[in-house]
Amino acid sequence: MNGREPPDTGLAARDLTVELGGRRALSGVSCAVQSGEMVGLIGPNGAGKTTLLRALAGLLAPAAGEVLLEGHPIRRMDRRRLAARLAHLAHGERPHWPMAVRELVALGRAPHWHSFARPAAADRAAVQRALDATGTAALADRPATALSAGETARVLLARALAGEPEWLLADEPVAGLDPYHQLDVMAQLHGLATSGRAVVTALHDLTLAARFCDRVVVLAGGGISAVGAPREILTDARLRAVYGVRAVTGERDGEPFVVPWTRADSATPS
Amino acid sequence: MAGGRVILLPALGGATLVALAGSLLVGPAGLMPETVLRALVETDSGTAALVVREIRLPRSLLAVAIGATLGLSGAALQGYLRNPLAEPGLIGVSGAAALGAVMTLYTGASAAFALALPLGGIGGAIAAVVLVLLLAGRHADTLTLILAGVAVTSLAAALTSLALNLAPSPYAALEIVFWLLGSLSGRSMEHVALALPFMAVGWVLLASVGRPLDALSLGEDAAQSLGFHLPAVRVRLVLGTALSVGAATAVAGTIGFVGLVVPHTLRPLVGHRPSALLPASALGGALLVVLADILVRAVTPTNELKLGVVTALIGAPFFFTLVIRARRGMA
Repeated sequence: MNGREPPDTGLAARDLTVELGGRRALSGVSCAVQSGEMVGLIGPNGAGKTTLLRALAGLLAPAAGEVLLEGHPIRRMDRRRLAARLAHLAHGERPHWPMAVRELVALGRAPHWHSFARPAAADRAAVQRALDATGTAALADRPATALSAGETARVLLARALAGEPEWLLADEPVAGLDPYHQLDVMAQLHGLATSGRAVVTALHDLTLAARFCDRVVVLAGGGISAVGAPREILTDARLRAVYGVRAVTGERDGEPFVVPWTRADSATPS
Repeated sequence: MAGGRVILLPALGGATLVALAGSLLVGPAGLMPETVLRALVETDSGTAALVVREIRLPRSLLAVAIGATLGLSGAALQGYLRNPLAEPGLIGVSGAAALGAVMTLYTGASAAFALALPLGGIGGAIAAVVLVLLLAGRHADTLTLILAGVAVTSLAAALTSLALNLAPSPYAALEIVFWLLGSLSGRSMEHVALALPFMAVGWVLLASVGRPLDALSLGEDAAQSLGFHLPAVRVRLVLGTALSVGAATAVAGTIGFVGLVVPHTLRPLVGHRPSALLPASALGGALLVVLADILVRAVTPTNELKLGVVTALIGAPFFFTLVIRARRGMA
């Protein structure tokens, strides 16, 4: 799963090294995601989560190594065919024109469009499903630039879902959402994974990562420091080493929670 | 889709046709409508046929084609740069086309044969595109493209000023200045035949970027992850603008503000979708330039105003309202 030779199934990074503006953002990262699993990407700011997601989406040219989708180098695949299967949702993406929310969400269907044809019934149905799934159907006719940050985040998630991708890469999809919608979005993403798709999502909320992800990948300083089931990975010692915090951990109804409590370097007893 | 949007294109198209017909009726010869109609359809009917077919028809056709070019390229550039202030002149094409044409005036080549002027303009536009694409590089972002455009525009403006400065006679300088103001008077069917093929190719290239422009509403990363190859989109956009605006500037001089005002006015009417704005803006541009050219001939028939002056007089106050509205929006 974290081996040197990724299998011909799944989405895999092999010895991936990425440089951004002369700075090494990722060095020699290897990891793989299989269909049907939800993987959480965690790590402190600047650890390389966003860069890894962008590289997995084929948006970055790596300095070394490569990303393979079912054994094929992603940078050499036809962009549109790739887009029909793999969606990338950037953090802080925002609409530039006040077009209606429904039309914005419909952009997610772009990889499925045929040159100049009008949107087909299948497209409209997929858009409606995405609106319903994210609870944004009520916003469908509002201008996309007149939404709150949380509403915008959900509309953009709907945009990514509208393409009905087999692989979804979401960078902090719950940032800025209220608790209800955080749980709602995580349940949606987990539902995608249980229905056979694959979801890779960067997260800062460790409890959400522990509860909803099948595996977590811990990034630190541009490399992978640990991979595995959340319970095994999110230990006191590792949280202290990676994030520099002491956490309160425990279980509720058989599910783990992780609440960062104090900075490891602070004198205050926890 | 809202009901208003369905009738927008037919309404703009109809209005443009009416304006085109009106444009054929206006002129110092004072021909009656039925004379004009007869002159258009019959093979030979003397002076009237000459006036309508050789003077008014090419002028009106050029007004439509140039207006459509400016509206279409303005809408495409605003969509690509995601900036409502972008206009066709931004990537340096208009300035360079003007310089190319001015050089033929300066050297006297335009006096030697009539088509030297538009040919010089098209040459200038092509040189500008090559320079902009070389400067911006293959993987340039939008900011680099704007900077390259501004650099080429400044160079063209400097060289145009140099040509004015060194003009052999005051008369030559005046000729250059008048040409730069932009006008459609005295253009022949040869001008139409020369400019139209370039414009048509440019229109096809620009019309092909609609879908990618929609995706670009979400930014460059999102457009790429939706499967659009942005370097190819940029080349189509820049080449399309260069060919169509270059040819337009080459035959008519610089006609400002149309490419800025028209897309901006029509954007809310098409639901702010960049792809829907392209055809609407092309028709709107054609309508505006034909009307402006009628105004030019109707208001001061003896000492014709320059078309570029009229569009600037319409466009500048529009800019003021833009600024005021933006300020209110922020307050």
